[in-house]
Amino acid sequence: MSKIFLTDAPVVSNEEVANRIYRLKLRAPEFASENRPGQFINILTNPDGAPLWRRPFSIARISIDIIEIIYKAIGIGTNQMAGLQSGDAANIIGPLGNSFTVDIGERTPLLIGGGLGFAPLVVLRDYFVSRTKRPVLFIGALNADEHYYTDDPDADLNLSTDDGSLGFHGLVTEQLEQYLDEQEAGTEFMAYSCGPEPMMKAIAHICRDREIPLELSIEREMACGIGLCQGCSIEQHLPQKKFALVCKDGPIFNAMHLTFTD
Amino acid sequence: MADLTTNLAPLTLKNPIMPASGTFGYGDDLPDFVDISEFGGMVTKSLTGTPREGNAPPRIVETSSGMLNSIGLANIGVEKFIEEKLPVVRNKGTILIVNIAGSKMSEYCRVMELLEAESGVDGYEINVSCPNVKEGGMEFGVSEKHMKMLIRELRDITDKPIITKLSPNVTSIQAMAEAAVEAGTDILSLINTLVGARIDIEKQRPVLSTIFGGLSGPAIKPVAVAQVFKVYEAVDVPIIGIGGIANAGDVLEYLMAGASAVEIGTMNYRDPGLGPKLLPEIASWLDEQGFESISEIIGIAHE
Repeated sequence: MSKIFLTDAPVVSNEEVANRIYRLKLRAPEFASENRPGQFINILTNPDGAPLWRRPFSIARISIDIIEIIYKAIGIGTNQMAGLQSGDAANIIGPLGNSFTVDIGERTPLLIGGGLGFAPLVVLRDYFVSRTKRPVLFIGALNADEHYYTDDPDADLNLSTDDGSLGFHGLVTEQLEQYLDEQEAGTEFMAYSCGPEPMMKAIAHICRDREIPLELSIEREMACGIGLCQGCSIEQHLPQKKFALVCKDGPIFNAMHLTFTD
Repeated sequence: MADLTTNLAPLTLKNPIMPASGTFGYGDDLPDFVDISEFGGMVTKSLTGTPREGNAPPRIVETSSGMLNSIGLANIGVEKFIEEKLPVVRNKGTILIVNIAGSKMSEYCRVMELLEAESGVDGYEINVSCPNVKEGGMEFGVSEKHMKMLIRELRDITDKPIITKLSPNVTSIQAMAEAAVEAGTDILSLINTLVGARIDIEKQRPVLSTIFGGLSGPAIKPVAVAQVFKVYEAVDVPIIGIGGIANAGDVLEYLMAGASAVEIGTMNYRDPGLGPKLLPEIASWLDEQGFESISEIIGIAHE
């Protein structure tokens, strides 16, 4: 397990990058040096009161001593976060959880995100790009206003929207299947996905049919994020351990291990 | 500086703050920024005779100033605890209290017997009040007769301190406290969680897979302080106050209501290092008020 810190991280910036979607940058050198792609932080959104629990967010990007998260202001905690400004500090615990498998040999990385779910895949994209791999990205969203990652010269970027207002008109899973059908036989991929669970389930089926290994970044409500409360359980296929903890055993799971992808 | 040592006869704690059972694991797998030796004691999560996976998800949900849980005593079982955890946590520089639970009297007894053969356990907290398991020993927490039977059996097994953890989900907590003491309990801890539920209005179904869970957090603190106040007047054994402690003032409230020590639970999830951080403030409050030790304010609200 990597070292876990609790710190008041200075806010570098907190900008709205799409419809109610924010990019929060925090100065946290110890987190940046310890982090592995796929890990998360747990933010105390209101040190003086409600909500009671911290809010967990995947680390979306790291640059030297700055970590970045992407969130949508939809509830009490995230709306408090939207009020953070440069000069404030955010009390955070992390880096937490396990990480994506990054040692994939000659395989081509396929990164598939649904809406906000692309956040944990950005740091993975950075990892591969920095090691001269060219990842293939698929990002789906309801409409153009929900897209916050729309340009990437170092990757093959495929955008889709449910309403056709940007990129492919349709589901990200449809675009992914079309892409895979066009690839030469024998091309080997390693897939990673994060997004709504029905989407991840559909991707798990697509990958299973094509024998593509797939890792998922899972989200659950968490009281602690560090394995103490035992609350964020998810059912898996391992007979010796029916329930895994998303915070500690995850948030990254082999898709085939989880029962919801059946 | 005021003396924070507290007498929890037959135990003596270097300070009155411990983590509550189920909120600190087994004390061996905490973040680096938490030093367990700074606590007055360590209370493990409940151990049962065999490993338990706990209830199906969802098994936690946030509420106003609190949370509901229905973890269902997920734990590694007493044998694995003895093999893997006890050798690590017995040397953490603080008193070790092992919390015991079971479905039947024989399971409680077996867990205690196995632990009695080991060194490093300073006392036992008996969970007779978990609301979250179908056969969870809850009858021991709501029936005076069954509680007495259980505590008497356990009293015969050990000479170490027995702490009985009381449920608030009863008509008279004083009656349960008296029954526990009569059967040989050395110390009482209270309260366990209050039964609660939440409904998901989108799905029109209960949020928790078990429908009901245990409510904890600051929302329950006034309830718990009232119960400590009542039990302090009913029995003569030391009391550990539990329920929603979030700051130094909360600890002082419990002490004044009659608790000799406290356990912090839900707020550990915000900051597992919270407990020891409250000690300097408690000490300076005592100094400012002219008290030389914690013992001077225990139960002071009753005078």
